[in-house]
Amino acid sequence: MTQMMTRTHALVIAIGLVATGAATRADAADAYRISGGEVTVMCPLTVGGSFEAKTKTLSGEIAPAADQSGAVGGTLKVELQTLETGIAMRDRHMRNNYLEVEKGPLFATATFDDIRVEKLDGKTTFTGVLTLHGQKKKISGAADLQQKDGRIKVQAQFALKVSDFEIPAPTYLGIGVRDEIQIKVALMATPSTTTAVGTSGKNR
Amino acid sequence: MKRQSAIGGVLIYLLAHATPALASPTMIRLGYSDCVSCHVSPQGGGLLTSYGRGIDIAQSLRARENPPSDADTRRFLYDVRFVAIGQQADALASHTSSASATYNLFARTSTRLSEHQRLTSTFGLAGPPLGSSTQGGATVIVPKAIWEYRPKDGFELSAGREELPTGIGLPDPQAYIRKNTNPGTTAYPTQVKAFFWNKRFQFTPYAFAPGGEEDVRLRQWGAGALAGVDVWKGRAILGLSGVDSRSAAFNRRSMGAYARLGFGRWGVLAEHEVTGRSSTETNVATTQYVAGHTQVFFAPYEWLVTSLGAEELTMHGATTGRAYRLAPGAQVRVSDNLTVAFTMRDVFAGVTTGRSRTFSVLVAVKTID
Repeated sequence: MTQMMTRTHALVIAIGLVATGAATRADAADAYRISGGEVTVMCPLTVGGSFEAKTKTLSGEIAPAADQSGAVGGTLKVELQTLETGIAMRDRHMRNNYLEVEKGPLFATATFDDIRVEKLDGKTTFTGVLTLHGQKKKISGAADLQQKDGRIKVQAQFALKVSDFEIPAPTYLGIGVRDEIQIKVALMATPSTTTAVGTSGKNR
Repeated sequence: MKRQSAIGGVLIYLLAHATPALASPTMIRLGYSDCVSCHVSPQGGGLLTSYGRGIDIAQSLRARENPPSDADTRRFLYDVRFVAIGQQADALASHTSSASATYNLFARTSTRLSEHQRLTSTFGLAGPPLGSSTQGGATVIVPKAIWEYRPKDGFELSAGREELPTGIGLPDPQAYIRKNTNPGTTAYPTQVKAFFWNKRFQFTPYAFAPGGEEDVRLRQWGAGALAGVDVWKGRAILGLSGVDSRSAAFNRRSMGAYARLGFGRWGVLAEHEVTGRSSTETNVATTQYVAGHTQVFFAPYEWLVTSLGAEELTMHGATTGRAYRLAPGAQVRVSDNLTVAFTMRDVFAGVTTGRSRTFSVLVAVKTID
């Protein structure tokens, strides 16, 4: 989700891909598509305990800037219709009453863009703009990036306040979800074979 | 002779107590690491909170929207629960079998005395087993009669009569372990206990006294505690238990460990303990027990929870013996009024006693006030 490719890294990966016979242009290694991942939303309950909402429908394409600015072009998308908590009725309430996914694309899909990371490899911090429930907010968090075989494995975590995104306070029969929830993202980014996405640090 | 007698006793108990449990510690699979969200009492079981009722309905075959109830603020809560159990026990060595049925009626109530205090009780009428040689009429049982004081979230003090708290909160294994490592004692001792809980820790110290229905020499006074810690996002509770008690006939000391693990659709519940029970006679005779229960459960649907439990019991010292029990089961929550459970118990209690197998069906119907 949040990575930057330095020229050195690009070169190393490009050499590696050529050396292993992969038919990939060096400039295409700048762009990555999300080839798999999972988003876990941890929702603490007001009376203690918590539940998780999970989805694997994470998609998007990203491209670290070559200018070492830390900017990462592209957008990550999560289809909120597919979030599941393990209780079907709770899923319906979450999607329809709180996330209000039927209101349109800005509600049905959460997007993350304008990403900036401190460094590409290892533990780092990141910032970005999260669009959720039709609201845009800048968020920051921590991530762990591991590069292997030209791919980048990302594990990131950040917190957000439900009220910041004008989501009605989730509650059911007297028990609610606390305002601050934690989001965990695990994804695999693989070099894209298409043209690199924009790397200006702005949305495409 | 002593060994065979002990094994025989174990086998008789196992046959007689093939009662599927209806507790829901399996909810840890969805992040419910304790019982307070859904049950009026933090020990779990019994009446449900408003939220618990919602979850109860949502996880049934007839899931539907539940209108908000006033269960959390109402002065008097109650339900009536009818439980019918039919079972067939086959002793494979002797090629004999027997079938029986039992019927129990429970009235469960909770009365709010003030903002922080409740009186909670369960009164039952247990019918005589049908189909067995046991004769007699219905008997009145009082599994729970407690005063509860909760000055704030995260702490409750209770006093009265009910089952002692255990690490995994499953009634059937709890009864199995108690009956075999602490024979002759009541299931419902008088007790005072405190529940402390927060996001990370669960601590329950308690002191107990006789329930009143035991033999005079087996009446126990003692104290114990459970201490659990959440080691992984509300889905892995690991804990220790300990209890020490005295009676006219024996002294008993037990140490145990438990785990409740949940991973979405499946999970593991385990509780194991080592117990020493020494007679107080001039020639002190001590028996050491190792007993435990491990269960893997899987919920393919919200309304269906399947499980495979394994229990072991070994006795050394004054009494020796060994028994194993394998228990596959399935629980179907048809609606918030109706639950059906199927269980098979396959017991192996040594070469002499051989294997036995019990099939049981439980139907529980309750009213919703």
